[in-house]
Amino acid sequence: MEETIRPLEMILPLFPLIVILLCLAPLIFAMAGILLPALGTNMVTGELHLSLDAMKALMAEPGLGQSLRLTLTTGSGATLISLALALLGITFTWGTPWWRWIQRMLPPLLSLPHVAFAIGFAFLISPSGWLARLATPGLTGWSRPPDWQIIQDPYGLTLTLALAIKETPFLLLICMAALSQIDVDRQLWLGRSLGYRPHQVWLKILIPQIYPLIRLPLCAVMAYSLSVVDMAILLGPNRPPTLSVVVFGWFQEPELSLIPRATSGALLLLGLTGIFMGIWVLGERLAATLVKKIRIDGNRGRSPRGLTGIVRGSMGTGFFVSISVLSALLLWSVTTRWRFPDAWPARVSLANWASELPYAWYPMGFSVIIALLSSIIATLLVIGTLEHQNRTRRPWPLWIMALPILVPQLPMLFGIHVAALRMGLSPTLPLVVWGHLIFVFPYIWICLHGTYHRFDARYTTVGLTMGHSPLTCFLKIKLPMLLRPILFSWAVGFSVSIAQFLPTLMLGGGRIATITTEAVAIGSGVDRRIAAIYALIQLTLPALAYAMALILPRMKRGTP
Amino acid sequence: MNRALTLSRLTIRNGASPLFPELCLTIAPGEVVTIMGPSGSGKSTLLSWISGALPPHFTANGTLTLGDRELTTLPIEKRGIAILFQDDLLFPHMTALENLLFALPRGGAQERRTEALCALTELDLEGLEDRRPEALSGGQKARISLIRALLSRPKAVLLDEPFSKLDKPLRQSFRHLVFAKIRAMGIPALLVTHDKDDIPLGGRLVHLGPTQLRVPSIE
Repeated sequence: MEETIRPLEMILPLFPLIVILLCLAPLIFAMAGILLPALGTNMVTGELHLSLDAMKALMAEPGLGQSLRLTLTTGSGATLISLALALLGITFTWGTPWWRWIQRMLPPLLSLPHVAFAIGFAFLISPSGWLARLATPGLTGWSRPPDWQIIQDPYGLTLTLALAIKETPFLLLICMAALSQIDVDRQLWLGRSLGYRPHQVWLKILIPQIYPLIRLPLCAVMAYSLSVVDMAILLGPNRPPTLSVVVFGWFQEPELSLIPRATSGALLLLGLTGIFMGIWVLGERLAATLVKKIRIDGNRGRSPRGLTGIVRGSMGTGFFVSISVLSALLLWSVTTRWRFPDAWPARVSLANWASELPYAWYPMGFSVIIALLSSIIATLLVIGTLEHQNRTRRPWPLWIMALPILVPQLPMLFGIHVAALRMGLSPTLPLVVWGHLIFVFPYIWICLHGTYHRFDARYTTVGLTMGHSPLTCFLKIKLPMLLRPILFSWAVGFSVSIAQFLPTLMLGGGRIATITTEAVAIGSGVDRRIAAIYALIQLTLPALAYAMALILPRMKRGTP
Repeated sequence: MNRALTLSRLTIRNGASPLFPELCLTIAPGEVVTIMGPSGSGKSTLLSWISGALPPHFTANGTLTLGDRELTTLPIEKRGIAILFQDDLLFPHMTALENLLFALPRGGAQERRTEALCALTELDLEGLEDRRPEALSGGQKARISLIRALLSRPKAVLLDEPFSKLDKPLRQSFRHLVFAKIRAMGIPALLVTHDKDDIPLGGRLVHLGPTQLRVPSIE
């Protein structure tokens, strides 16, 4: 018995160490990589002369104030709208056929990558887009597309809306995980038996309980929305763009002397995210005080019939938009001739696919290899670390594990890039896989840790009392029982990796092309047909992973 | 005014099969009727139907009235029927006092606070008003959940095995307290339990099951 225990007990402590080394320590390099140049390190000689010249150069940049304003309005707007939609959506659909429908629609919506969504969204709502074509000429009387700046509008409204629609399913998923930890139905029943209308029970009883559980992923949404680059390039304003796009442009410049300006910009983005999160925390406290007052005032509430309709309508519209985005992409990918204002293409064929696929195999291969490697390594690391924590009964705080996605990607990646160069690591595939791993790991952790910790340890005890080794019990009892959540978390990690733009571009030195980097490059061009093909390939890969995660456990009988 | 709770010609089906034969039952004000039966006989499902929370995979026929008022189609919040579960289900993000204030009808802030504090004092719970549920003992939580259910001025109470998780001495005193409160308030109550000791002295007992159903009439 002793001999069989040893291998597992010897290996498990290594997992947290690897996690610290590969996924958390890079944050320190990242901070050094942006702080040192911003504070005056000479990028050629490496000498440090403390000065604020880089900051001054940054502040003198024309349009910086407007970029900051745009970043704040788009980031905060998207976060607020998606949070409101998710919470209101649950409040007004829980226990109804709407809720079951939302649950069914979530996996395909989650598998829709941001870039693919942005490309399809542009196809849908641009002045020459599908919606305009469907309404023309009957409702509009147009003979040519109007000169409206809907895409890349100067206020960033389209970017805000697209981000909000895209983040809502993620927040719904996180809310579902949080709701599984509390007894929703009986609390709802209890609250209603005391005379409260269901929406009042949600407001006063249930949302205050789930909010602390979704707070961290919400911060990740905040950090993402404030620092997003790929979607902002495709849908955001460009004169000036959001701060993340400005700074990304600076990093792309080959002139080394301009790097301090870029790192100062990255530092500013980091500071902006920190300040925004601070303001959010203050807002939370204010909201908590208000809710505390109203939750015990005895007000049972009035019928929210109008609001119910609005919320259900908004949820339906969001899902309709996502489905329309997919349809628009499919249609454009097979279009050979589609003149405005025709509602449908005049000629369709698979010729676009036939001519483009030979070029797409190469980036597709890289995407799959990087995503498979990073998601499988991350899943193994998550399981190993969780198992170690379960045995030592010392779980790490969730915010530490989620740190890489709570910090804006751009400054962090630049820091890692500089640190890698200093260590003599040139841009190669392993470096890109590592870059993906840093961002894939937290998502898998967030998805899996709750289910893993809730696993009833008595099942393992039963196995041990029958004389099986801990390793056998782990492999034959625990893993098969947790197969479904493990595979789902892996699929989330796989899709996160497929959607990565900055880590591939910055750590691959522009030499490694994936479907996502190609889709961004083509999506910001003019050929809708090729853009649609790349967007469809980009969304098919995660969809296949999700399908596998859902189908495989069904093939294995007896898996709960 | 007659405030009896009446179930008339009630059948609940899970698919095609009825959980129990047609049930007719009237519970007088202040009376506690006990329901017993094997697992799966439909005891908790019956409570969920009376409360208005019947799970969608069940279908029910029959009517529910409280006095002259028919409740059958009303939503849970309009029925005025409180429920006490096996678990205390005190809201974890609220203090003991806030849990009680949540249940009280609207009114002056000071009056509501005084009423809640008085209710705590009456059950020897003074000084616990600012404690959160995790800082209370099982017995304290049970008593607070009872006060919470009664402070909402219910017209009837459903008791879904509320004593089963308490230890024996506590169980007995809590049982007496619950029955005394219900009698004092003069509201009908339906108790679901597996333990014969829970049946109030002289109270009626209904056996629920697929083949047999015995409902003694009020003497």
